[in-house]
Amino acid sequence: MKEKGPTRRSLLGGAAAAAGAAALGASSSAAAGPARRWGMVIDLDRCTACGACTVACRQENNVPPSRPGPEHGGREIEWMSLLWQEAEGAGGLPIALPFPCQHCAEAPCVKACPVGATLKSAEGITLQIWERCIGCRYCMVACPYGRRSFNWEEPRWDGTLVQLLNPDVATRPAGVVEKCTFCHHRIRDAKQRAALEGRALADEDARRLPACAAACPAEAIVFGDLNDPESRVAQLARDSRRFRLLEHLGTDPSVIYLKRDRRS
Amino acid sequence: MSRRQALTALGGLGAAGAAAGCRREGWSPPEDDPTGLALAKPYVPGAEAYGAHEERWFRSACGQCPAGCGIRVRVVEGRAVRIEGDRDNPQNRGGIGPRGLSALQALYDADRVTGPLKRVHGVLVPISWDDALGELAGGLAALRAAGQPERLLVWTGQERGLMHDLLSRFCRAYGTPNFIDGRPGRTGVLAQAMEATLGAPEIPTYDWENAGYVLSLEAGLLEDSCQLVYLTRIAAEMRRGTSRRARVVHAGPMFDLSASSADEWIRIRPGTAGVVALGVVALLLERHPAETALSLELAEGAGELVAFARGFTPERVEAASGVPRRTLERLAGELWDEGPAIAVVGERSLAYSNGFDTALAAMALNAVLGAFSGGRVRRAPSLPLADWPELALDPAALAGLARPRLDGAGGFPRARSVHETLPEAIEAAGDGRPAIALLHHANPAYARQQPRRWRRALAAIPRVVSFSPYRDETVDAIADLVLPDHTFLERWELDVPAPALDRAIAGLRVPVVAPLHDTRPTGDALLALARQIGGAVASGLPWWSYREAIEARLEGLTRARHGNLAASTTHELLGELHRVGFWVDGEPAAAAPTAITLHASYAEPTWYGDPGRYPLRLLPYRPLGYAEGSGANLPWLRTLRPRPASRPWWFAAEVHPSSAPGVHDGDPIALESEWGSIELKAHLDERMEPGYVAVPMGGGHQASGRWARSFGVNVLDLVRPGPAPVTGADLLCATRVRIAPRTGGAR
Repeated sequence: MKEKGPTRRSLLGGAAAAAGAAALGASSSAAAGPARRWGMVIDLDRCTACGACTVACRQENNVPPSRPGPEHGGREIEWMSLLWQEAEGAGGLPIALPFPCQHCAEAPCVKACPVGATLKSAEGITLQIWERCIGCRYCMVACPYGRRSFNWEEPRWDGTLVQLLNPDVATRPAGVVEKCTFCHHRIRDAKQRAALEGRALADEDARRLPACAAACPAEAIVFGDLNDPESRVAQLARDSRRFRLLEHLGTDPSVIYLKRDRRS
Repeated sequence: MSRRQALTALGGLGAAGAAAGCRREGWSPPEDDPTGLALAKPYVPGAEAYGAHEERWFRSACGQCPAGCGIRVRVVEGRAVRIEGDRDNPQNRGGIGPRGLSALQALYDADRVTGPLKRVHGVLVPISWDDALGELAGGLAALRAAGQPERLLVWTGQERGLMHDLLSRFCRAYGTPNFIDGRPGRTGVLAQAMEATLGAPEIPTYDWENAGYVLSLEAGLLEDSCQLVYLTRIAAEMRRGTSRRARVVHAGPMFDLSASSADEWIRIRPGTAGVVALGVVALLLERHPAETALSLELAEGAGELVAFARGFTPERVEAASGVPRRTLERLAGELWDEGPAIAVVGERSLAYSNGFDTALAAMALNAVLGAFSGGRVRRAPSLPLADWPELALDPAALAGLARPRLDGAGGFPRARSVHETLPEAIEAAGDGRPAIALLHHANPAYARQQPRRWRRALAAIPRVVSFSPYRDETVDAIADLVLPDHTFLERWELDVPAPALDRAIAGLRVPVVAPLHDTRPTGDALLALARQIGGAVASGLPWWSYREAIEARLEGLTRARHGNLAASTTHELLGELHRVGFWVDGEPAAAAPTAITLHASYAEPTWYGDPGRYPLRLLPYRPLGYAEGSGANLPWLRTLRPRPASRPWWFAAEVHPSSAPGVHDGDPIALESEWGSIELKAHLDERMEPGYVAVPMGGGHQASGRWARSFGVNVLDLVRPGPAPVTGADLLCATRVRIAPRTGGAR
């Protein structure tokens, strides 16, 4: 049953958002320098392809599990998955890349959306507002990374399974496109917590903030502000092993990979 | 008053209470809040019941795999909605594996057993706990009174914690020798090999942090290891965590995650890791006689080993394993020069008929490399738990315990329990066959070699009792009584993780949510049974609840003064454990073992079946996440991609193109052995060792819930029944197969 009127929960949520917004307003006006640009460094030399990031993402963001059977093939909803790449040189071994939305600064999907359902946040996150999405899927065609999923059917949460849903993240209906948000709601929560403690969000708060980074047993995923030269993510992003996917397209992705190394 | 008005008003209140500079009211536009708490957000199903949005975090110990990671569980109004790794836990340091993350699906599985069930005229119908326990206790008491306590068979699966000890104690107090211990860490091939080498039946721990070179001998370290999360962290640290990067070389027959993560992958024929190890030993003995003699100085049986290893010339190694002479020589040189080195084996390397020899060969290589004397391979640290009071056995128990075990474990020198002899033993026992079988987290009707014969054998037991929380194959088709356990997020347990660290550690598992259904912890059910049986059984298990039984053993940790928790009483310690989540020894266990014994033995792996009719050899393997099939009800795990070609819900037989002429990638094929046949898709992979077919385990469920049922096929239908020689362990990789024209429809 859908909520008919304001519940205690939604009221408290609203109140918390208001208090957070107040504190954020105070802190952002005090901060100087360029705006944040959230970004992620994925060190392929640490990654062992265990897949914890992909499951953590599903758990946190209420991403429905895909179903077996050919009729469901190609209709999986995946915000984060492993992309296996064959090695370039002869005799080399394939490697797996944890593969979230690349959160491009010049995001082709944003340009393609006719209704403004996908947009860039002030802090560099490519967001998707599913209430506004009309399901035209132009953004899916535009995204060179294929990191957007369409809800071909209503998500199903059988029986008691519905109880594991994260109450902080809305589920999506059939007919809309969804994607990785860099766990936007966790960033907001961390900001609010820091604000309540009367301090600005520190780099340490952010490093393992998205669910994928929090779960990674190898600590291969580091998150943070790419515009803060002192942040761990910005330091790692300057590593000589750095590369970005399809960089020649000019999308300016915010996900930076560090090359896999094999000791010979 | 509309919802928006109400919230706007409240937002105003919130803003009034907050610092000046508030720029927004309670509502925020979706641009700022597309995923979260904004008013315009769509509905989260099930959240309408939330009132206060009260949130709590619990520390606990994961129970999804043997790694035993420390976890934090977020509970919102009584519902567990998130699991994270505990960053303070020294084993996983915040990391958590895919299986642990899927625990919420295990808890909220829509197809759990919701209460005790009894089979009436072939159908499972609900029964009350009192009636179920009363009926079972009556049966147990009658069996004991009839002087036949040995006709009780108790079987534990792979769950960790003190339940094995409690069930074992119950069996002794009751008087049955037929306790089948399923813990691989205690009963597996590696544990037996370690008992032969170090004198303790426990898997060893390794000093990964200081290793400069790791040789993985067919070990699935990053795929089916019992220390998966710890090893994932260690693998990353070995590469980038220290200034000196360790080199990891994996020798194995297929491109799995361990091969993918290694610095070098050497493809070897399956089951020949022991030959490779002994070949390296021979080269090192020849090249460095003085130094290796020093390494072997204190080892018993070193003389025989030295003489024996000389026979493993590079030519012999190449002929057996396919590893070229030059590669072997380079490997030996690197192991010696780029150390400190360790050689590791795992369940995957030991699943062949020669698994025990392979483990001994690996330990011989470690000895030659000085890994024992250098403390790089060591005995697992033991947890200083207090013992339960000594058991006073009555004459009925003494008489029952003196009778022979049904599984014939005595016929295998070091085996404590043997599974694969049981079906035939049950059928051969005639009137002496078990009258009651208690199955604790075990599903033999699916997860054993040739499950059909297990179903037949179990059907011959008049009363089969399952404690499974899930409606698995054994519950569905066999069990006469089902007494469903809680899932691990609903009950107490003292969890002793698979050995990984250099020091002892234990985690406290606590109930983070109220029980979802009318289930009971098996420990409590067992204690209730003991009380009802009465006599020496009741006095041997005197606790009112399983939690009390746990507390009785915690006393040892209170007395151990060098732990991380300061407590003078057990009660205090329990409070601290609740707060911190784990107890860890402040001091590492003794690094170097005092004595090791080396053994000179090696046999080629045996493959059963007519080689003329069945030219290929079958490699069943436990894929990442769903192990031998117990994770098949967790759909998140089916979306993992542990292979370059894999997609969500991928299930295929991997084979080298030369071994499947006329077959194209993705073609449906039938695999046949002398013992059965299955139909699935083929995946042609140039990286597979020719002549072998690898098939994942965990498919082909006929029950176990909607996600598990009707997906894939059960490779165990193909596998030859019977235990491995010497160890009595399960023999997964020993069956010859062939690819036959497909007869059925698509699956």
